[in-house]
Parts: sequence; structure tokens; C-alpha cells
Amino acid sequence: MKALVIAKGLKKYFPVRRTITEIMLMKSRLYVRAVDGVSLEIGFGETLALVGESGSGKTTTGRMIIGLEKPTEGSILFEGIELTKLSKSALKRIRPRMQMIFQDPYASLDPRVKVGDQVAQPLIIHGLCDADEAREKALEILERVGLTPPSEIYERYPHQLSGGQRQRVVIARAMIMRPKFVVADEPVSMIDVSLRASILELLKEFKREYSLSMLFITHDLAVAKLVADRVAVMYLGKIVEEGVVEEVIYSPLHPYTKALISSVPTIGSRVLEKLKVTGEIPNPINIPPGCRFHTRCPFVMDKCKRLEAPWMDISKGHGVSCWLYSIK
Amino acid sequence: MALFLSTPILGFIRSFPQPAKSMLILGLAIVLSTMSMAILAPYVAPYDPTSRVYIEFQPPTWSYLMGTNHVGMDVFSRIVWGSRVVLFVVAASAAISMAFGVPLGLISGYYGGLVDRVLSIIMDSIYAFPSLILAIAVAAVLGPSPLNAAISIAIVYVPTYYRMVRGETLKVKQMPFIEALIVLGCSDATVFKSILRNITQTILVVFSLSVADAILTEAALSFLGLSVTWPTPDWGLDLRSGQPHLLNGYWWISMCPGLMIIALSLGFALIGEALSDYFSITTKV
Amino acid sequence: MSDALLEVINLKVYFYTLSGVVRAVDNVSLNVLTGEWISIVGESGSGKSTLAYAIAKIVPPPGRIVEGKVKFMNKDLVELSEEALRSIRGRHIGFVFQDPLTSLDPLRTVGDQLAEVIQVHLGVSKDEALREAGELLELVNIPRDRLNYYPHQLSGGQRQRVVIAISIALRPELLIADEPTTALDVIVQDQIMDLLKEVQKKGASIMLITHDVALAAERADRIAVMYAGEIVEYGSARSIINAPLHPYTAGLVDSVPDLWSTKIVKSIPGFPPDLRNPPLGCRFHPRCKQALSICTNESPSMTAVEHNRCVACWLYLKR
Repeated sequence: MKALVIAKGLKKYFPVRRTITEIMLMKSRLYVRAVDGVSLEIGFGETLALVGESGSGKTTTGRMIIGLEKPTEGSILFEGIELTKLSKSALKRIRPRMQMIFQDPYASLDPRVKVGDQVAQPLIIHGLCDADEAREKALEILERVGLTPPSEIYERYPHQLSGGQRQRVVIARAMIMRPKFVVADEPVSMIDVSLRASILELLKEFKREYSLSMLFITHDLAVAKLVADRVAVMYLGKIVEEGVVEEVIYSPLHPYTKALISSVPTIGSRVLEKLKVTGEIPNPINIPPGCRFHTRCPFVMDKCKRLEAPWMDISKGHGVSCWLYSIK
Repeated sequence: MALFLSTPILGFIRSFPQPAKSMLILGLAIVLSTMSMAILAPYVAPYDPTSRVYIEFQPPTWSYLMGTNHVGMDVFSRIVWGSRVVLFVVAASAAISMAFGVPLGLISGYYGGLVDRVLSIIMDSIYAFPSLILAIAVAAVLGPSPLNAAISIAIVYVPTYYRMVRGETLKVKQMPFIEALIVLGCSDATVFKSILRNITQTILVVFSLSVADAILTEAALSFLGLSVTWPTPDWGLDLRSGQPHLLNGYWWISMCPGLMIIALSLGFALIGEALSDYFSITTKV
Repeated sequence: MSDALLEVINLKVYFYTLSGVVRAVDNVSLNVLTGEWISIVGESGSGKSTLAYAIAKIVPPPGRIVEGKVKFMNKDLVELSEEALRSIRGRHIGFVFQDPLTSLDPLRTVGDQLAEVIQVHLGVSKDEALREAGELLELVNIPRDRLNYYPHQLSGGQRQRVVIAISIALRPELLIADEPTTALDVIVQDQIMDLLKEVQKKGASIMLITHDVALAAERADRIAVMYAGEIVEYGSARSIINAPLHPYTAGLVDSVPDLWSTKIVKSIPGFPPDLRNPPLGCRFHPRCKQALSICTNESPSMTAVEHNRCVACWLYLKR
């Protein structure tokens, strides 16, 4: 088996509701092309960061891979199994091996249930152990994620914990079944800056201990650099560049990546010259023809306005989709 | 009584801000005393409510606190025993309404699709009907009896519970913790349990307020003779019985049951409003 | 030597909630000089937004300004009547808040909203005002023809730029921006920050309030760091970032990941205090590795350490 997770040609189109007049005038249906052909691979024990702004489709991609959204098109292979064709019960059996960590630590927990019970719940749902054993394991993992004393934290309700503590509970709940793969959707963006590092460190520890593969979704490149092995940059529903994290950050190829990197505010000295880009992300209902970035690209050529550039592997594992790099 | 005054409930009441707190206490006082009256009827009522105990049309005195009616029965005793009927009908109708409205609302809200469309249309049609007329129509078809009255009232309020639960389910369904449950591999039943746990507040408020309304509907039904039959004591029925004699100055026969109806309805409404205030404040925080 | 344009003196803003009194801003003093960019940095619960609302005097109930002065152009804003405040807001102090969608009226065109501000305060004709509005739009890099657009027809970044245009329409001396770019993507954020820098170059003072340390430091002249309702340190941006004095500031700077360096990021242990019951003494002491015994029962006052640098920490106070 090559990689743990292989996604090919993932597409998610959301139909736009039409008004009565539009239906009567038989106007063709418009779609929000949130994800428009995304392929990626995540190896064993590897963390792939999916980076992009809001509207890039990164969250929708993650949701499709974890099964919260049905792809309009495309396939997702997990341990060689085609996820899109699974029945509900078969999917349920796979669940212990692939989990998700959400962005909002408060909203991810049931406000009415004790925190410890929520951590123990996955074990009970899948019949992996009885209630007492589940409680034991929950206490263990609460200690492991740094919530001490675990017996006290177990009895609390989410609103009695701080944001950072809640997120640790969410992580504990996701990890208690020892999954092989986790989709983390902006897990620290709603946490105070001074507390993020320890949460990211916690994720890295799990990655080492459990040989965890992770799809780490974020808009923050600096955070991606801290946790990821590889990074894929998304723009308007497609991946425009992908490679080893240090390479992409220090030698970005795609103009969008360059603009992104140079716009990130920094407290140290800046290594990359600022690349100024105009305009904003177009509406995903009206995706520009040709290369989607051409409306804002300072290096735009005539070709870019008509055709989408093919994917080119520039150096080992570092690929880009841009006419500047296609020898044609 | 001592158990009731135990700390958790008292603490809960104490935590209410004004004016909700006063509303809650007043409402609870009315409702609980009525309930006690109903439960302890044999001990509270001084006389037998269905037999003649004195002369007709006796105004309120110390021995006949609310006077006697046109047949010589003690009005106060009738009020006390009548509370049983009222509370039974209202409780039964609430139970039936919830038993149908809540699960249907959950299913509709969670699954959506065709089921939701069909149910919504049915519920909206019932809801659009003037409640009193609907209740009367159903009760007339079923025949006069407290149980039938309960059923007709229940039908009227099913859409209320349905809509509330459906709306809240739609809201809660989107929340990440429900999605987390799905990702964890929960069955739909577990998800429903979780949603229910989170909408109990709303259900409680809707319950209080619709019971307040149901009391008035029940009174109307028994007024029209569609609930209990004479001489069984019931507030609406007694109100009706005193009506022809009002012009002769015998006000207590109708007024007393009338006031009780208003008071009990008000009691539940106060509780409902107080709870509604409290919950919206806590959800703001 | 510029004079202080805005002086906040011993400001206290408390929220009287059901569960207790939240001391959101507790004895904060700072000043803003003419033509300078000062960034207020803080995390959740630091009180930075409350500070901005207090200066604008729009603290929502149950909050109240309990004590203190806000001196602006020789007047104390805390004492001023609502009427007098209206002539200052907009004209002399501009505000930009986080969500541009709620700052703009969805039912009126962008041009109308801009023109109205100009008309009301400067008393010119509608045509004059519209002409001005067009120029303002160009100033913020929006094509003039967007004057006839409604807010929902513009992108998020454009909306925020319109809000900025409105806020500078009357050439205020001070512009307060509270997390103006949190809802926008990084590239647009950079553009908006450049725009604010242009506004500063034209002579206005900028007060940027943000939780993003790097954003705060990039273009600022001075930074003030807030923690749990108090200012713990302030001084020139470079010196605060390169040589933080207060342990919290140091911890904060250490926790910010940097794209360009391989520095190890570390979190500050523990979590921010409950402002209904803040710790005695220095509010940071439970999390401070260098806490002394005096930190646990006495609150340090702000002292000047060098030229243009102040800290509130017992490590730097002579006792």
C-alpha cells in the first residue's frame, strides 16, 4: 500500500438556489465550485498542511475526506478502501481509525454532558470496552493531554473550562481510539496566541507516538510550518503548489504562494521581498477562465487567461501549476 | 415540603434575576397550590361537591367560602374537586401533544427532505386553524368526556411543539458537536438524544406557555359541555351553570370558577415567561 | 516633541453581570501622540476592545466607565454630554470595527453613506459631497464607479476599505481600528495595513487594536501590551519586540511562530484569569516563572524604565 489517504479529482459543487423568475426564464443553474479537482496523498505518519484563505475550499476538502460532505465527483482511498462507495455501517466500522478535530473548541463539545463522559463516549459507541474501562481510559488520556487532575476535569462541563482546555478535551476525544488518521480543521485559530504552541506540541507528540497521519487545515502559514511535513497551497478550489514545507516557504514557485508568504506579518526580519498583488479572491460562482489566479497575477501572460496550466514537478516532490514553469 | 426546599431547587430559583424571579415564585405558588388542592381534594373540600348541602344561592360566608350554587352545592368544594378535572385534562393533553410533536419535530428537522415537507404542510394546516374551533370540532365528533377533551386539545397543540422542536433541531444540527458525534460514528439515536438534551429548555418554555393556553381551551370546551357532564365539578362547566343567574345578582357561581381559570392560566404563563427570560439570559452569556 | 493627542488617565471600566463584577479595564493609563501609530496588543480577556469602546464611549451595558479620564483636545470625553461627543466622533476621532458588514447600512449605496457623513459635518451640497466621496474611494483604491454599489455587492476587503474611507472622510486626528482585518485574508490584510499607513502619513494618529503580535509590531511606532485588564508594558515597537521586559510580553513574543526563523515557540503555561476574581497583586503572577513573593500580594505600578519605555513589574521597580 502506497499512501494511507489518496484523494483523486475531488470536486464539490454547491448549487445556488434560483429564484422563481430564474427558473421560469430557464436560466442555467449556477454552482459554487468550492472544490474543483483536488488530488492529494498523505503517507503513513505524515502531516500534510492544506493552506489557503477562506473561500479556497480547504475546509470543504477536509470535510469530504472525513465523510461529512459527499463529493460531487472524485474518489477517496483510505487504507485502500474506497470511502465514497461505503455503506453507512461499513463507514461506521472505519470511524475509529479516522477522526476529526474541529476549529471551535466550545461548539465541538456537547454543553450538556460532562467533559469526561464525552471523551469516553467513542469507546462505548464502538463497543470497544465497557463503561468502567472506558472511564479508566478517559482518565488516562485526560492526564496525557495535560488536563490534571483528570478525575476533577472529568466531572466538569465545557463551560467550566477555558478555550485551551476545551480544545485539549476535543483532542483527547479524537485520540482515545488511537486513530491512524486525523483531519484537523484550524485547530488553534480560535485559541489565544500564547497557548497555541502547547496545543501544537501536543499534536506533534501524538503524531510521534501513534504514527499518526494528519491533514492539517489552516490559513496560517507559520502554524503550518510548525506542524507539517508537506504543504499544499489552495486557491479557489484547486491546489496551486505543493511540496516539502521548508521548500515551499523559502523557495515558493507560484505567484499566489509568493504573495501569501510575503503578506504574512512578521516580527523578525523579512527574507522574501514583498510581492504586491491586487484585487481579491473572485466569487467561487464566477471562477475566471484559464488560470484562476490570472485576474490578480502580476506576471499574467496571454496564455494564462485562456488555459489552465498543467501540474509540473519542479524538484523532488515540489510541484506547481503555473505557466511560468511549463516548458511549452 | 422540606425536600422541596432543599438547596438545588432553591438555589436555582435564587439565581433568577428580577423581575423573572418574582414571576417564577408567583407562578409556582399558584400552580403548586392548585395542584395540592387537587391532590388533597378529599381533605380540603369541606363538603361533597355533587350533592345539595345547603340552600340555593347562598352568598359567600365563612362556612360556605364561595357560597352555594343554584342547586345548593358548595361552590368552593366544587372548585377544589374541579381542579382535578382541569389538571387531568391539561396534563393528558400536554403529554399526548409532546409524544407526537417532539419526535416528529426532531425527525423533520434532522432528516429534512420529503418527510419534512409533508409533515410541515400538515402541521401548518392544523396550526392555521383557529385553535378553539378545531378543539370544539374534534371534541364534538368524539363525544363529551374528559379524555376526548384532552385528545382534542392535544391535537391543537401538536403543531406548536413540532415547530419549536423542528426549529431548534435545525439550529443545533449545524453545531460542530453534532458533527463531531457523526464523525465519531454515533448512531442516529445517540445524535437525537444529544439534540434533545440541548433543547429541553425550549421544550420547557413551550410547555408552560401552551399549558397556560390549554387551560383556557379546556374551560371553553367544558363550558360548551364537551368535557365532563353535570353534576361532575369542573370550572368551565360551573361557569356555564352560573351564567343564567348573573343578572339576578348571583355573581359568585360564575365568578369564582372564572377567576380560578384565569389564575391557573396566569400561573403557568408566569412560569413560562420567567423561564423564557432566564434561558435567554443564560444563552446570551 | 509632539504633544499627547489623547490621554487616558486611570481608566476603569467594569461590567456588572449576574455572576459578578468583571473588571475589564482596571486602571489603564496611556497616551497617543500626534501622528504616531500605537498598537494595543492583547489576547482574549485583556480588555483591549473594551478600552477602545470606552474611548468612543460606546461601552455596552452592563458595562460602565467607573473612574478615570479620557483627555482629547483639551476635553474630558468621559464627562462630555452625548451631544458634545457627537461632534467629536467622526470629525476628530474615526472608528473602524471588526465587521464591515454591520458597520455599513445594507440598504443604502456606498456613495450615499460616504456623502452623508461629509454633508452632515461639513454642510456642503449633496453634489459636492458625492464628488468628495468619489475622491475618497480612489484614496482607498476602490474604483469611483462603485459609488453606486450596495455594501453586499462589494467584497469583504472593499467593504472594510469603505468603512475606512468613511472614518477618514472628515480628516480626524485619531483613527481607532479594533481588529479591522481579522475577518479578511492575509493578502487583503496587508493591503489594508498599507492603507492605514498612508492615512498616518497624512498626519493622523492610528490606534490599532489587535491580538496579532506581528501585525501590531510591523508598522507601529509604539506598542502597549495588555493583560487581564491592565497595561503591563509599553514603549517603542522595536524595543518591545526585540527586548521585552515584562515576563508576559516575553512569553507572548516567544509564542508567536515566525515564518522566517527556526525559533522554537513556547506557550505560556496556565490560562488567563477570571476577571471577576483576578489574582491578588500582579495579575500575571500565577503564570510567571520569575514571580517574587511581593508579586503575590501587591500590584506593581507602571514606571518608566528608560526613555520611552514603561513597565508594570516588580522585577524593575525599586523597592
